[in-house]
Amino acid sequence: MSFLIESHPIAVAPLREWLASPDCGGFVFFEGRVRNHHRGRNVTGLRYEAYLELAQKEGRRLVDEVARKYGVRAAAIHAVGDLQPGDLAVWVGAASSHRDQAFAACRDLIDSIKSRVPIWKHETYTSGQGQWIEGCSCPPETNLATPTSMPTTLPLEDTFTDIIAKAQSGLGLNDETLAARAGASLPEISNLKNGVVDQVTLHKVATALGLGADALLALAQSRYNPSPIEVPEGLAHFNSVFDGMTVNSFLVWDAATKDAALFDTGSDGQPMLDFARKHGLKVKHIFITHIHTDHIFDLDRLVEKTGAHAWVCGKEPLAGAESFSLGRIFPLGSLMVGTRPGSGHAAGGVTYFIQGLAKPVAVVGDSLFAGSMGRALVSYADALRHNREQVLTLPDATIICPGHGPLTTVGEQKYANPFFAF
Amino acid sequence: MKTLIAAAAGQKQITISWFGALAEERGLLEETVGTTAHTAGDFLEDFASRHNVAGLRGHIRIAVNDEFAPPAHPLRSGDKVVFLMPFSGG
Repeated sequence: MSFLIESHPIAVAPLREWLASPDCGGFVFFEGRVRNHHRGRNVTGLRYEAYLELAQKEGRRLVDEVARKYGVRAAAIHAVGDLQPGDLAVWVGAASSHRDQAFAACRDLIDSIKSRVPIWKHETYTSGQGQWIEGCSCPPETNLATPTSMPTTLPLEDTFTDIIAKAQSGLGLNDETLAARAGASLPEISNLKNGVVDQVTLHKVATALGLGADALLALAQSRYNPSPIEVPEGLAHFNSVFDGMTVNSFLVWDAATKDAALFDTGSDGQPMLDFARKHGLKVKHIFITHIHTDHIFDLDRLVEKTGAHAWVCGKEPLAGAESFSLGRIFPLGSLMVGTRPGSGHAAGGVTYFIQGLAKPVAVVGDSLFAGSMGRALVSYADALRHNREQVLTLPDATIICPGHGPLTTVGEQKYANPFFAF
Repeated sequence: MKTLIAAAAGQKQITISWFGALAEERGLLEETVGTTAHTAGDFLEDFASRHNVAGLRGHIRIAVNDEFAPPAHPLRSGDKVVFLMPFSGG
């Protein structure tokens, strides 16, 4: 329901009705209509064509992302087929308890639809001639002009129900044990896990799971949005799609010597290669945070293209990468890349701590996310301990670069991350 | 005919769906071609080198089986591929 593609004319009324809700005091919508002119030519007609299977999927994804990011209800509908000047081509709407988020979400929705959804426009002019219009917006990963403009709109990796599930499985509690420990009924637990924000039960469950109740409630009520990070020179963030999710990778360099290192590869390292070439960087090392496929998918190709040395923690070796012992420090020009234990999500998890840029940087892999942490596939106790002792003891201003989701800081995670904020 | 020869040579069979300007230039909505390319990126390079499609020379993203795919995405016989010109919806 959140994203639709329909033949012209599109029906907006059902979406408006679906969006309106008694708890939403602000409702902002935007209508994109067909213009009668384009670059000095009179437009008489217009045709939209969509790659429907993918457009539907991507549209739903982006509407969900925007809804989560701003904590709003959101929906959009795009027309396909033949339209005339004045006709409604696209409609997006966002409803929220407060108007600020609704305005921002509405803007983000229409911009994202234009750049991310596979729909193309063909214009016909008074002369009878026509042409396909080539989009001007590039996807973010190819936008090399703005090194720090990488995914600014990444949604949080986990919802409050994901977090409850991770803590529950980490502690090895089934619903019955959790209910008993929390002093809540099974239906109350089940409702909460289905996303119903019942504050009393949420508080009981958070306490039973050793989670910070205030931080968890803030996530549940969409009140936690990571503060925008001012990325220092010498750090660039990349994001690629892997198996229906997205994964981060990072490029770090010394501005004086141009010595550079990649941290993880994502599914496609090409944008990092393009960036390095454009900025004259010499990629010396590729550091792997842990060997899960989404983080190393493009490793062989990146090693081949850069001639760089690939490094991985010796606790979980990887063919094609050299193992190091934790505690080793790698110089990178005038920067220092320290290696700290980060196992818990993965056996060979590492936190790379980079000093020498305007702000300290911790590349943490899936150990820690903004507002959550990676599922403890190896040891929940180790995952918690390593985050507490190896990441959250770093200076508050340290920029945390996680394997998934938006960047954050140590200071922010101390109060916003339910696993660590008490 | 080309398709049959390719199949005989044991190549992967890939179905390409065409949209927008590329469909118009190619004059086709769908075709099946044989290729030895291992990845989506190689397949695009391979196809563009063998067919004169001006639209493929610009910035092209690739979808495999109705999902965005990085150039390194491995291709399997029977995959459906779409080459995507920059979008112009909205």
